[in-house]
Amino acid sequence: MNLFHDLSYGFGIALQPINLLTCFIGVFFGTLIGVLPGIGPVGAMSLLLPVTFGMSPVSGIIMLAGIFYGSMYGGSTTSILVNIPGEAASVVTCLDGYQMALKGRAGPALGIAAFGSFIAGTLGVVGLMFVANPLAEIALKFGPAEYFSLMVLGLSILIYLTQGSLLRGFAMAGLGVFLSLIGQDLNSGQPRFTFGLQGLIDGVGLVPLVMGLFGISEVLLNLDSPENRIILKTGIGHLLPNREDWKRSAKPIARGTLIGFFLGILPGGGAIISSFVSYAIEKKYSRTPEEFGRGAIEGVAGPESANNAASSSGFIPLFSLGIPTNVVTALLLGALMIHGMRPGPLLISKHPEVFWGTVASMYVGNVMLLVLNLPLIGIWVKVLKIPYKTLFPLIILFCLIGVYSLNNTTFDIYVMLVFGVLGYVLRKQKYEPAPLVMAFILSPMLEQSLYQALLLSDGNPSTFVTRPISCGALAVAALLILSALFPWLQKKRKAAVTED
Amino acid sequence: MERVGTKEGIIWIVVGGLICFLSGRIGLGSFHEPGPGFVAFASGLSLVVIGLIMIPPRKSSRSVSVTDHRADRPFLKLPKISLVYTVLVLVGYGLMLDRWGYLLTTFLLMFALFYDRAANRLLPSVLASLLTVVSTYLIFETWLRVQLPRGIFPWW
Repeated sequence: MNLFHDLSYGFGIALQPINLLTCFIGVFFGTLIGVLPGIGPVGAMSLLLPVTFGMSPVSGIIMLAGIFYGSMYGGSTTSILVNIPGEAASVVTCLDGYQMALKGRAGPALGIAAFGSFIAGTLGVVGLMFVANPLAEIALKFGPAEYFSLMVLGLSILIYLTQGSLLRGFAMAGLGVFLSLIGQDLNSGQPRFTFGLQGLIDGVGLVPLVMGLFGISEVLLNLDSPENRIILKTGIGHLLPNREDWKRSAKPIARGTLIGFFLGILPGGGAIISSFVSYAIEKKYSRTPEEFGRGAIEGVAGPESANNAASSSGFIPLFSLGIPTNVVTALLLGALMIHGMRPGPLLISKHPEVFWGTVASMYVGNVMLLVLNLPLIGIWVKVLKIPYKTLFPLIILFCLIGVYSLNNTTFDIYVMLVFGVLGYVLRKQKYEPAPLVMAFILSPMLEQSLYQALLLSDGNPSTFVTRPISCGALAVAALLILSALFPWLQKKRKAAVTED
Repeated sequence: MERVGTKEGIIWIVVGGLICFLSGRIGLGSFHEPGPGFVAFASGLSLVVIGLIMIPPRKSSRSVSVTDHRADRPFLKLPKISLVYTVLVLVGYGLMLDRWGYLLTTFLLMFALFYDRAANRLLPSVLASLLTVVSTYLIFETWLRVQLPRGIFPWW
């Protein structure tokens, strides 16, 4: 009963006109950002963070959270219509969503993405409300060794699921690990691999790196091979999926919700990994795996549900423990601190209006997204039908403004350009940027966990294999890595992941 | 065993070796007390190993049969002029943004990107550039309060 009392208290806050307005602005802007390729939720939240300073803490957090889960909705639109992921969690949606669009089934793809996102997002919020404390207690029992091994496993799964060569995937991950280590070492204070550049003291920024690898390199690839860019000329068709679509999508949505919810809680898990894992599982359980990569609706429903559930459950460690699980929740953590709150176990008891107001606003925001986005898809399509010679300067400009506004420095623009060119070269050689980005995000936490685990075990590396959870995670990761070396495992993998 | 290509393999060996070398310079430490280069060294070493695996052994017909021959093409063909032009324009934008300010530099950037040399029509490109600069300035500077560089227009 106490739970429902708290929730009704939250709705009392979320339904205040000012909070409804900030929620609307957040989800609308988030969707727009998700639609526009090259600008992800991190850049959008960074842009709008100063705007929240003049608001009450709860209004500010509601708006920033709205951008986050709104972008998850919007990201699928560009993935399906132009094969460009609006944000990283929608990368996997390109595989089948775009193929569906090419077959004239863009409408059902967009529809099932929206409905799946709504169902998973709402169930994710229910989960956040009900199981926040018990799951946080379990996660609390994980030591550094478990965190390290789980992150290694997460990274290995991601590489395993990328298309093309596994060796290239591992090479990209290795490069990502190295890039994340550039900058000042937090333990010793010593600059690493900065080559005397002041701009690198704080490390390579995630936003310039992601915008370069995904935004600028995509533009360069399209300029280099304009014939490869297929502008959707077929109609969107009916947005509502038919009975057969629902029948095929029901279980993927349910599984995607569960996968996304639980992976979203783990540090480094979140929307990106959960969408990839969901895709792999759907393909494995499908009676027609050969359809994956050629327009299977399950390949859209599962990952889209997973990334939205993960975006909800990612708030659990943030609100209950004060631990961000990804860059987006790290930004929210910063926003909470700017507003004078100390994130951690006491946040819910000391600032119940923020926790319950945000939880309730997520229900409201998910309804807003469903009601708004299906009719608005036509507008997004019109935006996307702008000729590329007109669209690409605008994409570049949004990337430039987004990157510049983070630190007000042109150095970040150069970083973005470097990764744009690097991304172009690597993608021309069939290298996927996703393992690099994931390794880049996970490595600082991975390094910290490694050091802490070694410190706690008095420098004994066997600590990673003597602890059951850690050992199990590493064993699975090792199996995935070894599959790069053995042809019979390669065959199994090729059956699970669509080759070009 | 999966093979990719000799040239790619060599490139990764060189990159990995360089990372190992740089890591060693800043200190590897030990398992008891890992240094700042510990993880970086591991990443460099893994790249060297990956590079070695990528290189197909000579006189091995089985390996050759699974080699990805796309990788044995020149690593990078000469890119198109439009691509080089875009990159150079963006480098120029980075160089001039703080000096000339957002309005002028972005107008020039947009004009350079919008301008269709084949059609050779100036006016549409100028109008589109102007519209983009004014609208983004209003959205980001005025509405979202992003601090864009003023450059030679300090009163804006």
